[in-house]
Amino acid sequence: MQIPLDILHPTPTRTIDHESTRLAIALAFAGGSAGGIFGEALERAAIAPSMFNPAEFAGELFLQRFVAQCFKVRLGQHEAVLNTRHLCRLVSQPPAEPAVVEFRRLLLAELVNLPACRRELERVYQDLCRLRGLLENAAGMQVFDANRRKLDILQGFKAIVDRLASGFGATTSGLRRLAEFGCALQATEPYQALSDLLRYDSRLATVNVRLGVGADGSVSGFEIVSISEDANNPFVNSIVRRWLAKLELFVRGYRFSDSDVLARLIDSVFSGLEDELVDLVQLVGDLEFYLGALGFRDLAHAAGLAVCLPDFVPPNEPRELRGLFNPLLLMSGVAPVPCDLVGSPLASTVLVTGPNSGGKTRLLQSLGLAQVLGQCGLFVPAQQARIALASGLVASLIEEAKADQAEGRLGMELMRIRRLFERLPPGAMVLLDELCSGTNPSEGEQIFELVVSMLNQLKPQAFITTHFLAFASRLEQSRKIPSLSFIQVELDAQRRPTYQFLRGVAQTSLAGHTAERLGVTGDQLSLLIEQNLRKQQQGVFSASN
Amino acid sequence: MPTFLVTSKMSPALAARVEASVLGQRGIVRGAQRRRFASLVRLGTAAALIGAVALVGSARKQSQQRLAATRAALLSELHERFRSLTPNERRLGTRVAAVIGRHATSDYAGDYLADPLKTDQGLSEALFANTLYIRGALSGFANQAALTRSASESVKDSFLLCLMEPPSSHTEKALRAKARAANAAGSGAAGMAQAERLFPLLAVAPLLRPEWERAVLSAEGQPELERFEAMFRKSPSEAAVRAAKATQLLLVLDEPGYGPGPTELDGERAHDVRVLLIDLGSEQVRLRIKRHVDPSWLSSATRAEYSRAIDGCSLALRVRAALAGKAEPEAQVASAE
Repeated sequence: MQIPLDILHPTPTRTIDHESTRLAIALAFAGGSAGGIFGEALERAAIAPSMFNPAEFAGELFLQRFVAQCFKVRLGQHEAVLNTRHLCRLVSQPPAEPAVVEFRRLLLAELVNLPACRRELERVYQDLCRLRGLLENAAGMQVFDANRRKLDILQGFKAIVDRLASGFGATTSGLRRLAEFGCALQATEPYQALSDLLRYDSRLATVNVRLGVGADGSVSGFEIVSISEDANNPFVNSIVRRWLAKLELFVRGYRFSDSDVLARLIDSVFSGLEDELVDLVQLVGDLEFYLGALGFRDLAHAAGLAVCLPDFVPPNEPRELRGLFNPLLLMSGVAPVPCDLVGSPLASTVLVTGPNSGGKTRLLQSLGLAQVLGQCGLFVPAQQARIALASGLVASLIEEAKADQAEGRLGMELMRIRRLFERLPPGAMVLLDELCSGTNPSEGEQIFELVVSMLNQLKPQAFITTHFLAFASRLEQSRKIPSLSFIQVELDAQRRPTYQFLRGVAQTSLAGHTAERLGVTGDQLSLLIEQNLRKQQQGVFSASN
Repeated sequence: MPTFLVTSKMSPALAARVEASVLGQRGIVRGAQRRRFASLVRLGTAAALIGAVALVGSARKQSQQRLAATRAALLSELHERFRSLTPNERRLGTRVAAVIGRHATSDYAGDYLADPLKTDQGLSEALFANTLYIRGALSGFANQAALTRSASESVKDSFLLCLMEPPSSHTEKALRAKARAANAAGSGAAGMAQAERLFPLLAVAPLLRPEWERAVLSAEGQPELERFEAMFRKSPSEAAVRAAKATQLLLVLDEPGYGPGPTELDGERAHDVRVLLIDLGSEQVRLRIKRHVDPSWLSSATRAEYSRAIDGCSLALRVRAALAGKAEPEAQVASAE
C-alpha cells in the first residue's frame, strides 16, 4: 500500500478506515448514491493521540459553536459546508506530540506567507467538493447517463491530481506532500490509463471538415476531408472487435450496447485508482482543518482583530498574550475588546477579580480557546502569544441549576470541586469561574483557600475568578500561597469596566452599578410594585392570566 | 479468459483490470448475480435457437435430398421410357396435328390413290405398316383442343378392324359379327396391333418437350414434384412410344349428316365419310376417298345397337375394294341372308 496522503501529521498516517471507505466509494461510483461517505469516513477518522479530554472543556468553551461559525471556507461567492463534527474532534483533541503541532504551524505559516499557494489549495478543495458532489449525488438528482457521470468523476479526479502535482512544487512545509502525491500518481499506470480513457472519450477520432461559405455568410456545404482515429490510444479497438466485444458482453449478461462496453472500460480504470480516491477523502478533512483556520483568521481581520500562531515557551518562562479577544463575542456580533495579559509562568494560579459583567468569564473563555487552538497548531485569538504547552484543560464556567440535582447550591459547588480534582492532571490549564460562590463568604473563603492551596500541588496554569474581594486582598498581602498572582478588571473614570486587566485585586464588584444598569434599585423596584398594584385594580392580571 | 475489450496496446495491469471488470470479479459491481442469470438465459436461448436452426436446416436438407432423389428418379425414368425415340419421333405429335389441320377442311380435293397402293403388295404393305389412326367428326379438328378431344374419343373401331381383317361377306350378319368383335376387343384385337391411336402421342407430347423437364428441375417442393410424377405415371407412355414409331396416318373424317333419314340411337345417320392415308415421312396423301354411309338398310334390331359399327365395317370393305380396284360390294339386307 502506498504512503497515505496526510498533511496533519509529520509522519504520514492513514486516519480514515481505508477498506470501508474504499468500498463505499466503489459503491458510490457504481450506483451514484453514497449517503455521505466523506462525512462518515471523516467522523470515524482516527485522531492523533491527545491528553485533552473534550468533555472537560468543549461545552464550557462552546467549541462546537466556535468551529461552526468561525471556521469558514469561501469558494468564490459561496461558502463551503464543512464537516463540523470532524473539525470539532480535531480541535478539541490537541495532539500530545509537539512535533505534530509544529508540523501544522509550519504549514499554516506557509499558507499565510504564500497567498497564491492558499488560493491553489482552495481550488483543490473546490475540486474536491465537486468530486464529492458527483460521487455522493447529494442533490439526489436523477442520473440519466451513468457513464457520463462516471467520466465526470474521473475527469474531476484527474483535475485534482494535476493541480496537486503542479500547484505545490515550490512549498517547503507539509504542503509539499501534495505535489509529491500528485507527481507520483502521474507516473503510475492507472493514471496513464485514466488519461487515455478520457482522451478516448473526448477524441476517439478526428474529422477534418472543409466548410463552404456562401455570399451571405451562411454555410453552404461541407466536405469531410479525412477521418483519423487515435490509433495509439490503448482503448481504441477495430470496428470488428468493437462488435465482437458488444456480442461478448451480451452473452455475459450485459446489454448489447456501446455504453456497456464503455462502462467496463471505465470500471477497469476506476478500479486502479480506488486507493488514491480514498486518500482524497482524508485530504478533504485535512484541507477543511487548515482552510477553516484561515477562514477564522479572515473573520478576525475583517473585524479589525489580529490572530497569530503562538510561540511556545518552556513552563518556567512567563506567558504573554497581547491583543487577546474572545471569538465567541465576534460570533455574536459584538465587537470584542482585545486585552493584554502578561502572565506568570506555568504552575501558577491567577485570581481574577473585578465587577460583574467586567469580562472575567469572557477572559477565561478566551484563554481556554487560545490554549486549545494553539496546541492544535492553529491561530489563537491574539495578536501576539507566548504560551506554554499544557497537559490538559479543565474548564468550569457554567454551573446551571438542574431540576434533578441531588444537592443544594453549596453541595453542587463542592461536587464541582471534587470532580475537578478527580480529573485534573499535573501541568494542565484550569479555568474556574466564581469558585465557592454558592455559600456564605466566611465558609466559602475557607474552601476557596483550600482549593487554591491544593491546586498548587498539581502545578497548573489556573485562572480563577472570584467575588471574595476581601479574601483575595488578604491572600495577596499575606503571600501565603506561592505562585499565586492577581489581576483585576480595569475601570475607567466613570468606574465602568474597560475590559482590560491590571495587576492586583479589585476593590469592588460594583454590584450597585450593575443593579442600577439592570433596573434593580429601590426606586425602580418601588415603581414596578406600584404598576402591578394598579394592574390588579384594573383586572389586567386576571384578564391576562 | 481473454476478452475482446482488451487491446494489444494496453498494459498488462490495465488488461487484467478490464478482464476482471468484464468477468464481474470485482465484488462491488452490483447486479452480478442477475447478470449471470441473464447470461445463462441468453446462452440457453442462443443454444435453443441454434438447435432449432440446425434442426430446421437438417430437415430442409433432408427434404431437399429427398426432392432431388425423387426428381432424379423421375427424370431418369422419363429418359429411359422415351430413350428409344428419335428427335423426329418426339416431334411427331406436333407434325400430325399440323397434317390433320390441313386436311380436315370442308373442301374435298377428290378421291386419290397413290400408285404404289394399286398393287397387291403395295396395298398389303400399306395395311400392315405402323399406322396412326384417328376418326372423328370433321368439325372436331378445328383447333388443338378439339383435336385432343377428338383423339381421346377416337378408339380402334370396326372400320379399322374390318380394314385389316375384312369379313368374309358383306351381309348384315357378317358385318354385325365384326362390329361386335371390334366393340368387345377394343384396342386389343389382333388385327389392329399395328395401328395405334393418336391420343397417346398427343397426351405425352408435353412430357417430351424440354420445358417439362425444366419445370421438373425447378420444382421447389415435394407436392409439386409429386404432381409431375403423377402426370408421368398416368400418361400412356408405352402406347405413345409405339405411336411415335408410326410411318403413316389413317385419318377418317365424318362429314355432317344430311337427308331426311332418322338418327340412330348410337348417333349414326346417313353421311359422307372421308378416308385419308397419309405418309408421315413425306406428309404426302397416299389415299383419299370419300364414301356415303347410310344405316337405313339394316334391320331394325341391328340398327338400334350396331348401326355405327356396321357402317364402319361396311365402309372399310368398300375402301378395300376401291384400293384393290374391284367393284364395291353392295349391302345385303337381312332378308337376303
